[in-house]
Amino acid sequence: MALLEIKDLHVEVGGKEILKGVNLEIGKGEVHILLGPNASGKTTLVMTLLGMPTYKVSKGDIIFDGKSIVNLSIDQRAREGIGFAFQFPPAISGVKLRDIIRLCGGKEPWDPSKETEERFATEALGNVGLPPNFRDRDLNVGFSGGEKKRSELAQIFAMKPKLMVLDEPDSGVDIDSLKLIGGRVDSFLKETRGSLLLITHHRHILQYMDSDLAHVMCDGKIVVSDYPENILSKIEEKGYCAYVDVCPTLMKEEHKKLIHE
Amino acid sequence: MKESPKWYVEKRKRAQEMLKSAKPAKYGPDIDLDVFDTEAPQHEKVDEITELSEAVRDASRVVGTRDDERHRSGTYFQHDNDVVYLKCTEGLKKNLPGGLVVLNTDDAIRIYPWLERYWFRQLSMGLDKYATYVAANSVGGAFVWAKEGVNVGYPLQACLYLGTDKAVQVPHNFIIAEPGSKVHIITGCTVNPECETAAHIAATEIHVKEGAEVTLSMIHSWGQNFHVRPRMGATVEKNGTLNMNYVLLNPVKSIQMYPTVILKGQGARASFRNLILSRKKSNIDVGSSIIFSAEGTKGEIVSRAVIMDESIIDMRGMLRGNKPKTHGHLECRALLLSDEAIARAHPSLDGRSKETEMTHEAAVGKIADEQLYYLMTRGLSESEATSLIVRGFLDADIPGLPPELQAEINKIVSMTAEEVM
Repeated sequence: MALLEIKDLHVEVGGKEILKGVNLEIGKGEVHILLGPNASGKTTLVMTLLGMPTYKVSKGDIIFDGKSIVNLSIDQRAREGIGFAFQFPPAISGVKLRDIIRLCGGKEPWDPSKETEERFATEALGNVGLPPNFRDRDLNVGFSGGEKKRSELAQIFAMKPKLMVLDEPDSGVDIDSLKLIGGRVDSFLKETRGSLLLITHHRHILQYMDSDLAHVMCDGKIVVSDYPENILSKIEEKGYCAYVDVCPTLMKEEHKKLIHE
Repeated sequence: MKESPKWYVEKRKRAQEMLKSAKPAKYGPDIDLDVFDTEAPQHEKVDEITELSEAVRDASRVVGTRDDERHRSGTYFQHDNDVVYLKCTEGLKKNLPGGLVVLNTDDAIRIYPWLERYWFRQLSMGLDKYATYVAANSVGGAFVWAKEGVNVGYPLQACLYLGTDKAVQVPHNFIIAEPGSKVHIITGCTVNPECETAAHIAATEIHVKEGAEVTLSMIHSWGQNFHVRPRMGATVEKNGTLNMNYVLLNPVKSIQMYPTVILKGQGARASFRNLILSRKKSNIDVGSSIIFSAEGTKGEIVSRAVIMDESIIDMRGMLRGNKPKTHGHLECRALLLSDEAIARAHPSLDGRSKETEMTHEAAVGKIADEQLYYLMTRGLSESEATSLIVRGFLDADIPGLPPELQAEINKIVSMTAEEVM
């Protein structure tokens, strides 16, 4: 049985249909890559999976670990085992990173009268290459792009999710961070036998982790699924126009470009 | 006991005359002071704080008063209008003999004739009817005098407890910090939970002399039918520092205050930290103002308020730069957790020199969905996430705030966040 099963999913945002029948299955321990041009519906798919209120499921179902989750709240889904790393996490002043990591791990916020030296969050931060002083920083306040990605991972790892969803963990980070992020995700998945849905535009991060299948989204549907290597090499050579035959929207864009040239 | 000095008797007489035609305060609802009774029952003095009743001590703990006096340099305890306990700790007396004088203001006026030069100098007794009321009717209040060069160390705690129905508490407080001295006072105002209604009308005058540093942390926990009108004024001389912290924990019928600090000497500094939980049907009008009257003075006002239930709050702030090389910043943020509540921010900047720099930022709004959802993706329920955000919002970093009080603030915020959901 698949861990995640998305069946004929239709989603509306503000009365407009964005997802027009998405089908996707992710098995236990599998790594899936989600690709697609801007505005193809990748973010909508992920936000719907998380249970964000503005995304209304008008048809279809999402089955996670054997049961439908479409009527569960965001936090209920998180507790069922979905861990999401944001591409642009919001800054929240006064809320300490250490306390969030502890809450993610099912622990109480740090109480110096019970534990003189904070250990849990410090270790989690060390694992993603962040120094111990980050535990006392306010959540995402003044974090660089790379620091945000690492802090997101530290939180998600602490949740020990069955399914990790990472939204462009490789965007705007240097090569060292990329290597570290890819490596840590890979070893975490192997340790926990967890699954991953990874949104990315590049193949670079895949050098540091194993992946099973890639999907291309276009105009609210998954139009192609294949081995990641096959899809990525095609896209890198020709762009998303490589899939013009299966996505009429791309055709239109392509025509426009030709006319301009 | 010596009689009150002549100047004092005469000035009070004049204040009583003035009271007949005194004007209401500029802000806040006008209250009829005649319904309150200045003749509250007498309360016996005690030798140890622990002799006070359990109920009184419970209420005082909420506002940061420690009955074991640990990490305190002394205690002033007032029940209605009686000072029931007043002592400096043995440690303080041994280390700094005579360095810190703490008295009932009524006694201080009898003992020190020079107090005439300090009485209603930091604020005008004609300011409004509440200031005049204190000038005419004050009973007790804490007189705190730090001698030259004395660093008092641990904070002095002052607790003002209102325990009698329809009583009015009218203290007149003084803080005088001689050159180079350093003192921290934690004032906790609290009430008997069974007390239906009462009023607290107070005057506090602070004089920070050259190079001295005064920190005054005020913690208020009133009842739902209480009226509160503290009047406060301060001056800070050359290179002196005044830190004013204010925390309002519980619902109140109405509170209005607008302390003013005048930075009179070069290099003087002032900072205000206001933390307000506006709950139930509270009507709150709290402001802070700093007047920069000497070159090179600096000041900052930071206010945070969480507005719940059907409460109404006006948050004021005023910075006036009179002299060159003055820097002031005003920050005022209100988090609205209820559709029935009203929050208004009134920041005001007044520059009177081309080399002054006064800035402000103000924001009134609800919790951003983006923040709430973000924390919920970590498995926190909506109320847990709200509580965490509100606590973070209130974490305005008040230096020297007792940990018990921080814990109390956290507890109330968590409880209220759950109520709101």
